[in-house]
Amino acid sequence: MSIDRVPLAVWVSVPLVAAALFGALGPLIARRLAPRRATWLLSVGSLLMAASTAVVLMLVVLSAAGTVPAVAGLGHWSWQRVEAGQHFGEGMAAVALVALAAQSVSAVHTGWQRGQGLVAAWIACRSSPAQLVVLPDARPAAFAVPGWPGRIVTTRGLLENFCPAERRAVLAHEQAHLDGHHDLHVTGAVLAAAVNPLLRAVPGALRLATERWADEAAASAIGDRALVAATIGRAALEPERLGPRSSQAMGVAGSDVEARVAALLRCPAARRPLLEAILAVLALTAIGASMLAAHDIGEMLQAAIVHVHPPAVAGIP
Amino acid sequence: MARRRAPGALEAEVLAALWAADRSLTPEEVRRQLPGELAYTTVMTILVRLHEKRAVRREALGRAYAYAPLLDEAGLSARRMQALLEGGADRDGVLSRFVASLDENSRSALRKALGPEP
Ligand SMILES: [Zn+2]
Repeated sequence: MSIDRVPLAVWVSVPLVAAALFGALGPLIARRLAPRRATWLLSVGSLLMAASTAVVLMLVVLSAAGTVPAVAGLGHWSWQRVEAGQHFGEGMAAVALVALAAQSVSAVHTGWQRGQGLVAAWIACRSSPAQLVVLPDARPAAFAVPGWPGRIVTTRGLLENFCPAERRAVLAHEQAHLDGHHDLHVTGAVLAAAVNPLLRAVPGALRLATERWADEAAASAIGDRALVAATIGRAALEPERLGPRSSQAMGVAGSDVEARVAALLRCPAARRPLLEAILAVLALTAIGASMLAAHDIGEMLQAAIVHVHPPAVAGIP
Repeated sequence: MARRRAPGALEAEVLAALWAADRSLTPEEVRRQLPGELAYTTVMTILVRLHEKRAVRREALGRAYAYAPLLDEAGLSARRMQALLEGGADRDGVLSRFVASLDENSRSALRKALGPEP
């Protein structure tokens, strides 16, 4: 069967199926990959997935909208011809339109919230003369605040209780977040998941991948994987002893810490070309299918164009 | 064998060593605090740069200077950051902590994975 004969419905549904597979398999596969590759595959892959499903929904809406005379007039299409070439019912178009609207609202809302949080943190750190910002807090904690330049925030509790090698491991970990622009990867996946709920498990998996990436960077900075594992363990187990914890995210994060420590106590992850290829092929399939769908609908609309000059006969081609 | 540090990373490490100490440190004391073999002049250069940026203060100690973290400007961003965190800025994973807090199951699993305390 030549590619031209494949019904449009296939090109439209392939990105949705691929996104569902990517959303389900991506997090499982990412755990087995080297963290840098897992990060790139999940962030770029989920963005391609979200883009291709959004394109497909737009095509459905556009195609159905072409049967409305006022819309057809804008594109110089004959609405009768668009209707004759129509693949999508009104019901499907309505569903696609609602989904698109929901996606846009969700993406804008999520992007705004995340952007606001990052900007607030950047503004708070901006006046610091050095890259390191030290909070007067007895509990050990550390995080990276992206910006130009990025800052590393940590606490007196961590600096005073951790030995020089442990301090260096924590600083190298946070530095790796800044150098690798991990916040951009996470932002990409968070937006992709906001657009397409089939990808909702991806941001969590991507966060774990960036943490593992930073852990590996710390391990190579101090030349000791077990020491980085022990440092993570201390940072996770010590706070209770040193003071009450403030309110913060629980749940998945706990298993993330276990996974990070386990990864450090093993050898570095080997390359897994087959698993990497599965994710890459899913993403490329989705994009390819959405482009073929765009091609089909573009041709249909092209064929429906009425040449208005010379004297147009009202409505009828 | 430990790899070489990025230039910015070394500055953060020097500052961290000053914060970790309970008194002012001479460049030689800072150098001994840092893992790896660093040249005295490297540490000295960083301390001078930090002093120019007003991130540390120094006091004369015999013929040399001793350095300590300066709270004024650094303290301002620390206070702002602390206020942000208390407002829950890291709750939605916008800022990711070095480690998140754990429930009791994860804590015991972690203790088991890491083995007995050295
Ligand atoms: Zn981290």
